[in-house]
Amino acid sequence: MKRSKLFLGISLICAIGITNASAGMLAAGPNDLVSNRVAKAAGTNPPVVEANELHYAWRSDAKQAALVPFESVSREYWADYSGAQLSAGIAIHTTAPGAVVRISPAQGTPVAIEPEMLQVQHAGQVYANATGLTSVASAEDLAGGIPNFPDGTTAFRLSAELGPGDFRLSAPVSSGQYLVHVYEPDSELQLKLSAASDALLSGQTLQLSAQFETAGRTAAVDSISGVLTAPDGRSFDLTYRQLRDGSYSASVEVPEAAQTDGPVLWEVHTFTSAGQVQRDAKTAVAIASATARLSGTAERLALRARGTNVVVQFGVDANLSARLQLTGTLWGTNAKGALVPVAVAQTAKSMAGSADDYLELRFLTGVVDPAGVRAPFEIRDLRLQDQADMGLMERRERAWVSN
Amino acid sequence: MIRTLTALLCVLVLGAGGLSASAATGVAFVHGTGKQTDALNDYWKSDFVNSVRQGLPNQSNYTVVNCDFEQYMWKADAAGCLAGQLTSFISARGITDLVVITHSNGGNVVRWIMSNPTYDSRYPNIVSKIRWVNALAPSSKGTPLAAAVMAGNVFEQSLGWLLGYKSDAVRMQQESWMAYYNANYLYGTSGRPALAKGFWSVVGTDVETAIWDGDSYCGGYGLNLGLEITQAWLDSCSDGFLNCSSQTGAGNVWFYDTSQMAGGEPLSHNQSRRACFGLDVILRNDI
Repeated sequence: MKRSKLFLGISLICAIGITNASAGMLAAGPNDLVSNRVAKAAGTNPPVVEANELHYAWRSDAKQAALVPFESVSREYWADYSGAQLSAGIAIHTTAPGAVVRISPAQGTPVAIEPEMLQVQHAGQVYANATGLTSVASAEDLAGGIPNFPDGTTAFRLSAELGPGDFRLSAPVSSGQYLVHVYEPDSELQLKLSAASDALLSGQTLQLSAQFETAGRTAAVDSISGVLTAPDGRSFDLTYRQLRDGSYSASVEVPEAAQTDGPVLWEVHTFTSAGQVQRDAKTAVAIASATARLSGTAERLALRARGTNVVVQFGVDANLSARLQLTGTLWGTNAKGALVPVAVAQTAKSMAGSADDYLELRFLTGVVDPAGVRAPFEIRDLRLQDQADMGLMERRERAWVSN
Repeated sequence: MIRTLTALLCVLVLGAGGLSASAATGVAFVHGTGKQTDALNDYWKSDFVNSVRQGLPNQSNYTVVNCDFEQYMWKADAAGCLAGQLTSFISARGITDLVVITHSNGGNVVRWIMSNPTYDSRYPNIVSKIRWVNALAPSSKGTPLAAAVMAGNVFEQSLGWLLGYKSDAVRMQQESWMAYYNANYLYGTSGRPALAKGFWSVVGTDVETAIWDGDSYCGGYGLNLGLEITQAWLDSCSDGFLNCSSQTGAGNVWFYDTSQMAGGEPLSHNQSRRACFGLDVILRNDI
């Protein structure tokens, strides 16, 4: 076993021996990300940054909570229009006063639609020269700012005094393409979208939930569709079905992971219409290929050293040569007998894909003893990643318990 | 208060170890989204940097980082570039006590380094030298504006993705993306393990643009005007680009702008990287 310089730098360690102080990992829980088999690598791994075996640990007593997947809440939609359509007038239906409208010309469209160019029709009245609008921002106001909107972007709010309802916007343009983004910050009509898990492996099932709400109550929509997009440009249609509680569900077998050089995410886009009300929502998920997995073995090393040191070797099954990263949080038992978080340790090393590969988490006295904890210890929030693309291949809420 | 106590403890620990007299303190300025080649003049402005570094025992111990933060945070041109420049600075100046000042997305790139120390052998040495990070308006939980910029016709977006047309840094700062990264790659958010070193955020809470008010001109009236409209996409507490909930999303809050700035002025996202309302003096006195 090659020791890193960091490890050698810990002078308190006197000797190292291995005993089978703990037989193995805990069984996977229902929220864990695990694979039953090691997948074949789809292609050549991108190069890794580092070649040396590294270990690092730091104290952390921060309270920890179960992971909750992100929920997207949308009160907005986007639509594309041609210059000719804008010249004839486009319809915008709002459900609350003061909708925010942003108009961006597509690449190659030379004319920005300045708010002063717009004619707004509403409730039988015509408003020109930016009357009927507030918080007006010209293309010049938004140029070079933060965020970096596309060139020629303009934005404004429909005057709250006009109330909600049907608006018709027209502008004297004859060509080009424009993206119109309508956001209703004060609307009670919203689309919620979430995935059951934020991280999946190829071959698993991605479960999606969508819910259209009116004033907090679930409501039906006239149409709902969606698409899953991959970092490499692939897209997969989603089919939603309505559940008894009125919400919508879609599931899709997770496709082959995309080849990336980092944790680039996939996106789920969902589009609904309910009468004249449109809402678009999106969220993100990670999809990886389990080209390595934890084998289930976990052995604590017995150390002849001062203080309390918890060093655990986790067996790894890998199908290819790779540089794998393992991160975990140590919990220990405090004076009141309660398990509390103590420290985080991370290790990474290159593997040849042999049967007896392992990764070793080192919680040494410098990070353990200040916490004033003793056995039993647990390792939680254990994550296995491939540093070539940082794909998350395994995640365990509870991974190991000391004797 | 917590921050003050931490500072005191730090001094006590250093003092007890006999290191305070020999500590070489340095400060590094880490910009936000964008590809910088002259961040001193284009991103921060020299009056800001020169004012802050007056707090250093040796005023030459500073560096202004120039990297490509249009890239994803883990990229060689982003975190790799930052690691290279910090390592060179630490080595060349013998820095043993590093205060890192970040703005906006720069906080995410530094959190990548602090959260993934085994990704690159330069990272552990950098983390060990950091005293703490002063994160000015960090985009720790992303911003709805990133999605507003990115979204649109999803098929065009897929095409843009293939062509590399959009900024990866903006894509990364969508709220859904940052939620995933915070849950799996970046430490310091609520319910997750802490970072190895302190991450103290300065929170901008509002944008003021009144043509008759001189305060609205600090940092550039035009830029502040643009942030006024973008507030429409954000919560009532925002700096024009980030909700306060994003700025407070990782580490600890050092202070909210109106509690410390001269005249109780808020800091827009543009002003939190400039010598506005005494921000530079507060940062100077922190070193």
